[in-house]
Amino acid sequence: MEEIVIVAALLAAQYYFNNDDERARKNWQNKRAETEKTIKDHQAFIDEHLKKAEESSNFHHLTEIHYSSMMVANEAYGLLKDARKTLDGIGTLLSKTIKHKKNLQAQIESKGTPNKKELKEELNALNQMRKGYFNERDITKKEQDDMLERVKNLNQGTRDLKLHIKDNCGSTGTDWYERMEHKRKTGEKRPKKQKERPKSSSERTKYTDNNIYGLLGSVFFK
Amino acid sequence: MSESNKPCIGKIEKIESIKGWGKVDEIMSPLGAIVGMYTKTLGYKIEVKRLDVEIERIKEQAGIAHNVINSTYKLKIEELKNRRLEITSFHKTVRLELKNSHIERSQVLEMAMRAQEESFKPSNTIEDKKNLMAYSLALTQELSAFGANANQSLEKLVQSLPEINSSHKLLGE
Repeated sequence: MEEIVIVAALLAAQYYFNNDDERARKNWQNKRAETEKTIKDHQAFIDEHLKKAEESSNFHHLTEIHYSSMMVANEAYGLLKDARKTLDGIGTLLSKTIKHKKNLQAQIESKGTPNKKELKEELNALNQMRKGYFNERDITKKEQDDMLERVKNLNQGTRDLKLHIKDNCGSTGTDWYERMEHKRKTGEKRPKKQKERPKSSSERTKYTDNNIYGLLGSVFFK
Repeated sequence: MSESNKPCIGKIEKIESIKGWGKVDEIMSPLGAIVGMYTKTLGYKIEVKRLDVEIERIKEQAGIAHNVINSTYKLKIEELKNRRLEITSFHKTVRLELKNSHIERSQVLEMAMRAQEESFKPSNTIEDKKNLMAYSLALTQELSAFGANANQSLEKLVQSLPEINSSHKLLGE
């Protein structure tokens, strides 16, 4: 009789522990799945956070360089205009010299002209000056050509950077690029006098590179 | 700790299961299947508790990672702000130099033209004419010097442009 009771008790205990073990195993499996999901979710959130932060940091960094690059290109364009103006000025000096030279030569060749010796002396000085002007014209022409090349390179660099921002800074970069292109196409310009520089970078992006592109655009970016 | 096991910001460490329940089972084997099941149940419960702690650890680790990302981002933006201030002031100085150079160059050209005009006037003596011509030429020769100086200033501006690093990472590699 005692043996039967022991066996029955053992069977009951086995049944009880078997059920308990099954519950514990399922509970553990669920917890493990929950843990794995927590890891996955947090990792995805961290990756997304990092990606956004990098994109934003890159965007600010690159738009900053773009702005500086645009400013430098504008200064180079200013120097190109200076070189052109100087070249025009030397051209005017030369044409006036040539005109005066012809006048002097006519006077020297004329029979009734007094003080021919002085006129010849003046003609010599004039020729000297003319030679000097030609020399300066060549130097300035070279300066103009070099500056034109430089402006082209700077504009190309600025343009490449703009495309780089579009392609590497997510939706912020694409939006910025669209805004810049729109401003360039519609000819919207930055106000001439900016008493205060924009304080935030987002405000800064309102600037347009249209001024330099507008001046040179159709020539360099066809 | 090996290189691959090193904890890093932005990466949550994996969980690992406790091993070795079998040994306990074997030791307790004289008590039979009931004891074995009890041991396993206990093991599962312990593991569940451990996983609860793991979840807390994951949340804390994630929180730290987010804080690091935010702090690094703020630091980068601050660096950019400072750089912007420096570059703005530098550009302002160079732009002023270029503006002055532009004004001076225009004035020198104007003076060269006037000197030439004066040298052509018949009322002047031959010596005055020769001097004025030499003066006009000397002034014209100054123009290229202005150009060279302006070029140097521009070069400074170009040099101030930072390099574009396309593989820029906020937290490094």
